[in-house]
Amino acid sequence: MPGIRLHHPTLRSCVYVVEDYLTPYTVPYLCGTCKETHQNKALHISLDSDGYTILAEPVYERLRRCGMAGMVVDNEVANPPPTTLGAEAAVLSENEAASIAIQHRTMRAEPVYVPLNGKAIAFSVDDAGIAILPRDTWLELKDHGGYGFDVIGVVPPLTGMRIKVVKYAGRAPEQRVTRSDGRS
Amino acid sequence: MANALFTSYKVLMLGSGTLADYNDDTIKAMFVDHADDTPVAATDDNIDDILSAARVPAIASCPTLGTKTTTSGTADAADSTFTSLSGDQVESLILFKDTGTESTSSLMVFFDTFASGMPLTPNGGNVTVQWNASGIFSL
Repeated sequence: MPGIRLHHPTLRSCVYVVEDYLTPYTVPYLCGTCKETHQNKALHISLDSDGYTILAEPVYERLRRCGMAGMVVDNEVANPPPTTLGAEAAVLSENEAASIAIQHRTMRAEPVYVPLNGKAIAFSVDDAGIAILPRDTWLELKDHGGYGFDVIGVVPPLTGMRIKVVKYAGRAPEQRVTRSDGRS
Repeated sequence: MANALFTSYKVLMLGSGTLADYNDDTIKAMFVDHADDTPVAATDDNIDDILSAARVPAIASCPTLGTKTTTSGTADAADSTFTSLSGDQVESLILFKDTGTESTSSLMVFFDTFASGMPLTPNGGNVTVQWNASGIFSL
């Protein structure tokens, strides 16, 4: 059974995303199609102008475990149409890798020092217990149990930085400091 | 999200260990299902670091890169076709040197950023990876 044709009764000409909440990604997945982060396995089903799609059997099985999400089986397809994937040239700069935002369950505003196989990872968490680590560093930390950190999001790579230049014609404006008791 | 060379491959290129020769070795392409395993470019070194469940397809069914060139330090090859690809939805693609032994099959390049089509939901038909006109990767 190479492919299974399915039909959605109402959706047309779109990518139908069905999230499998029972299957979390090993690392939150920053999706190139949706431009958002999926925490759980998210099937991306392309529906044609008549609401049809063809899925391989393992994908169909996952959809079935998700309750079919409104899709209805139509028929088996002996020779599914070919698919083409357009690859981009490899980007070799590791600075462009996405970073992972993590939060510690108890630590707040303090340095973190994690010894891993002889080489240490040192960073700080802010007053909310949050730190942003390069993706690979987080994966290494996670491989060793996570040390009490949980992933709270993915930080996309920086594509550029805009610097705002403020020119003062004369004296810089006075800075006012307001105390917590309200007095200046 | 970023395409990258595996750090271990960079080390091999610098002369430590058995070289992964892009031109002469058997280089294969494989998709990876991130629900089962996410490749780590910094620390994974051989294909045995990618869980079997995450491999789409199994090594034996992965296409071998053909018509390879390395002109001006850019690795290129003919487009790769996965025949009747079946499996769960995949989120990335890797290139690796297939020695026939998993613990010595070096991981080379990791792709999770594509011009189009990723994540890929297999339909049971052929899948062709159209390598970029400017090559697969450059040194």
